[in-house]
Amino acid sequence: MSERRPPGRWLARLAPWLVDARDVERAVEPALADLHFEWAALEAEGRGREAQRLARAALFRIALVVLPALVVRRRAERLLEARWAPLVPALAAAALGTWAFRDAAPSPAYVTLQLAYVGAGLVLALVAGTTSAGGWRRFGPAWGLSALGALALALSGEGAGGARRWALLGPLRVQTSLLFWPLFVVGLAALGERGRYGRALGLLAAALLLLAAQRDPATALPWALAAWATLRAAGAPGRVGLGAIGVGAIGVGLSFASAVALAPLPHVEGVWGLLARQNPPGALAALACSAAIVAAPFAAARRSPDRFARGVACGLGALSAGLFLRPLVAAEPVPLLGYGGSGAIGVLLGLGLVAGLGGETRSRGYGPPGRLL
Amino acid sequence: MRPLSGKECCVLELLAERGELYGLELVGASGGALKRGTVYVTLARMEEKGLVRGALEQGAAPHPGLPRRLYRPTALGLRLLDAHRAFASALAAPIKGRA
Repeated sequence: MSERRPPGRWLARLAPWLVDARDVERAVEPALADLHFEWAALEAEGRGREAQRLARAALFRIALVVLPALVVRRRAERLLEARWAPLVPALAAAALGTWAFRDAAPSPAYVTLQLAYVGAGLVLALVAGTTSAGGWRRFGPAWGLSALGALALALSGEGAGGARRWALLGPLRVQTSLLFWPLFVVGLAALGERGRYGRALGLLAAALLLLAAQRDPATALPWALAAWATLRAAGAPGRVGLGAIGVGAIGVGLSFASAVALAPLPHVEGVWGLLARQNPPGALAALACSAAIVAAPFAAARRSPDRFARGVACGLGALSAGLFLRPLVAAEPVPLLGYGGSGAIGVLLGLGLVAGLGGETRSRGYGPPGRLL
Repeated sequence: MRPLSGKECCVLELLAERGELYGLELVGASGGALKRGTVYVTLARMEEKGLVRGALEQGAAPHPGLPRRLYRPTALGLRLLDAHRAFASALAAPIKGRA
């Protein structure tokens, strides 16, 4: 018998990162085990070259056929399981805003661009909604760091009136704080669930410093609020919640100290006022849609017994509340209703996450609602 | 319970006939109906549905590497196979009053 190691160790290590643990046990490992059996038989007969050829072909087959088939199957299952209802008010708000401001926008391609943003957001929502909570949880800290990276990227990007909030990604100009906030919440929830409170507060402090450098206090406030809600719902004790409030207060204070006033545009920052003057019933409908968007994550959190899912859902709800309510008192952009792709895509991505987490709760038959914070 | 797919039916036929088989043996015994690239996904799905039961081979594996998974049909799987056969034979039977 040859002393050589059986082939495919890299695939055995890689598979748990790509597919569910039960699929690894029931499909990937049996495929590798049968390969090892055949390979060992050929090696024992001294047909090493043939054994290598067999191993190469089998590993390609597992990597390119078995793994993708398992991923597609699970995603299709989650597509049917997920609670997609929260996307309905979001799409209604986008339609309402696009229709109401089609004449106020300076660009003739306004409607086309808004539709493209909503389409991109829907695609991301589908991907987010069909990704398992386990998948989000496992890479949680990495998602949090990627959100920080995106905030830092904006500092090197295009500025306007002293503010540096936008990054150029190829031909696209994105406001990173509005696009990547769901990933920040996922990172915080993962750290909070694991009891890494120091790192979670560090992540919050770094994000708020970057937002202060972007000179964006209006976004820093919802981020701080979301951090507190996420950590508390993910099971952090009260003292950590107080710590989050303290870090948040300092960060938001720094942001306000460095704030710059940008000239408001009617179809971006003056959405509520313009809508209320032009179309009061439309304004009420938009308000109802916004309320539904804000309420959906909290409803999902109440149903979930999983601390990570509760943390993510509460954080997304708190951030949505901040994003949708702050324009009522200040000249700030309203995601989906007003012009702008980053906010629309970010909100749809967050709602996709909520839809997926809600579906997992339903599929496991979890019961009565619990205390949130 | 959904009706059996062609591959599921083939797996159950083979397991009902031979008792228990490894994935690779199923591919070999199927005469080309089951492929190496899809048999494990099919077996995983059938295990989840409760149509087959998989268990790791007993004792230390006689070869280096991972232990193999041995599949046998469950009572539910055999009942579904019987129902499938009865349905297929009913469809194949000539309808009275027609040529």
